[in-house]
Amino acid sequence: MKRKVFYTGILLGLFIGINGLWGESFFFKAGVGAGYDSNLFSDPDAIAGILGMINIQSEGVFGEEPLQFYGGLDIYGELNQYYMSLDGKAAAGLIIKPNIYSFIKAIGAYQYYMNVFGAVNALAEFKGDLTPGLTGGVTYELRSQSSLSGATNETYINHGVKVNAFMDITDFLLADISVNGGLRTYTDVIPSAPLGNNMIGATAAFILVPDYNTDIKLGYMFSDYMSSRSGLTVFSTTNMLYTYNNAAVHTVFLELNYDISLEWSLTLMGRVDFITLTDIAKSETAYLAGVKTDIFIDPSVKLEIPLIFSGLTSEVIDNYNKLRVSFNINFLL
Amino acid sequence: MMRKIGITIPLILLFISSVNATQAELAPVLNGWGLSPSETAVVEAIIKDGLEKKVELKEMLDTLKEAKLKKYSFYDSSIELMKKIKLVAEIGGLDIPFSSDAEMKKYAYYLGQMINVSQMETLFREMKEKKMPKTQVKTVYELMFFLNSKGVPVSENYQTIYLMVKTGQAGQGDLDQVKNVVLKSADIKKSPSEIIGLIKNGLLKGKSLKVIFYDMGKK
Repeated sequence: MKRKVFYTGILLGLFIGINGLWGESFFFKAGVGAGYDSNLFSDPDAIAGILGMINIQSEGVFGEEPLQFYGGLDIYGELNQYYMSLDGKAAAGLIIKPNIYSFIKAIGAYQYYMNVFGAVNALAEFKGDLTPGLTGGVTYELRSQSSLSGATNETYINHGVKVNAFMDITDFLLADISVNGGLRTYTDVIPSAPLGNNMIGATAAFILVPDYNTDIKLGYMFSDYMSSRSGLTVFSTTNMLYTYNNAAVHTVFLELNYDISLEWSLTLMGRVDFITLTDIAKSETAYLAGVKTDIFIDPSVKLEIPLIFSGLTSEVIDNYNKLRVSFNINFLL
Repeated sequence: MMRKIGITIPLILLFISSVNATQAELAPVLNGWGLSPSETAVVEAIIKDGLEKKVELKEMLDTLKEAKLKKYSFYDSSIELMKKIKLVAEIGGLDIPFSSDAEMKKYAYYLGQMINVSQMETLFREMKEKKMPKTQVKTVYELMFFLNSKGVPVSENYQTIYLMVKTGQAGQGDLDQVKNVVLKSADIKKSPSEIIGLIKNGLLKGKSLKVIFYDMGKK
């Protein structure tokens, strides 16, 4: 049944995407790549492997402003000697631009992650200019996810709301501030009763754009997770830590984009999450550092080389880290 | 009396020779077109009118040659020729930046085939007020032709470029960035027209080009 829904979604996405071909707002990106991962399963066993990957993205918008129809398809597949995975998402919806100062988007999507989960998403977004240098936005997102074949217990319904403000402080300095909250109910973790894990968070980021070829984003985020149960569980098959515990997370992040030339661009990124579990007082630190190189061979052929180092030090589960590097060649239409 | 004849005869001879020269150059263009004598006379009259308005003969002949190649009817060819004369005459009356440079003049004529005379006048005035150097003016024209070739509607193209010049954000780097982003439009999943529309709306809202491009790529 779910597969049928997924394939129907793909067909719908393709149909809407190809419809977009009639206009000029149709985009297609397809790529293949190969890479190396020092820790395929992100755990202390650190099993390394060589990977092959494919990606297909297509997106079309058709219709005249103010009312436009949107269709999109996004597929990512990965293969190595231990597993094959496929993550596909088909989306369709409406974009409304009543005037140059406001924007409304309503999108429905289905995502299928082979053998892991299937999820239905509904998103409604409104953005509006409050003053010349201040844009406000409200987003509501509903996600209903069902775990497949017991790979995880991640079957839940999540209602997420985000309110954000984007400010031009000067011609080259911006601020992005948001407050978000989520109401999440897990239905499969404890068979007899649903388990709630709600969150509230706030993010503040500053963006510096000194020139067209450079932008720097530096931010801080605080998230507070509130669980309806205060026991701490480690899911035995995947060694996955469930924060069915209250937790506070402080995150700092940095992203630097620099175009060396018209054909070459670099992205440096870093992120550290300091996680403090409260009811059973334990702490963890998750970290990520990466560099991504994009090379345009011509405007429709793009080489992407991401190199990401990430890991976790934890008082609950064993520490691990991983390095992943890949070379991807993409064709753009 | 003799003196008057002495002056008049050479003038008549000069006129005849110039008409003959025109006809000599016009004949190969008109030959084989199958025009009736009255139609030929009409074309000659239009050309004469053009010469009086200081439109170069070569330009008019080129227009006719092009119309012939496109297999236009006599009526449509005459209209094309008159449009060309009107355009050249109107542009001739404008204060074209760096008009002493033949190349810049030629670019302005090309521009005149895209946007109307009052739009050109407004743009030229703004360029002069901003004291834009010659290379920059040329890059503005080239960018407008480039955007035209990418299917950007003429009105959006003109309004965006005008706003860039007006807000003092039409330096070499600004113009290059617009071209660069349009060339890589597929990467940010936006069509050239959408990119130009976003720049225009951003400028109308008083945003800087840097912020506009950041928003475009990141949101």
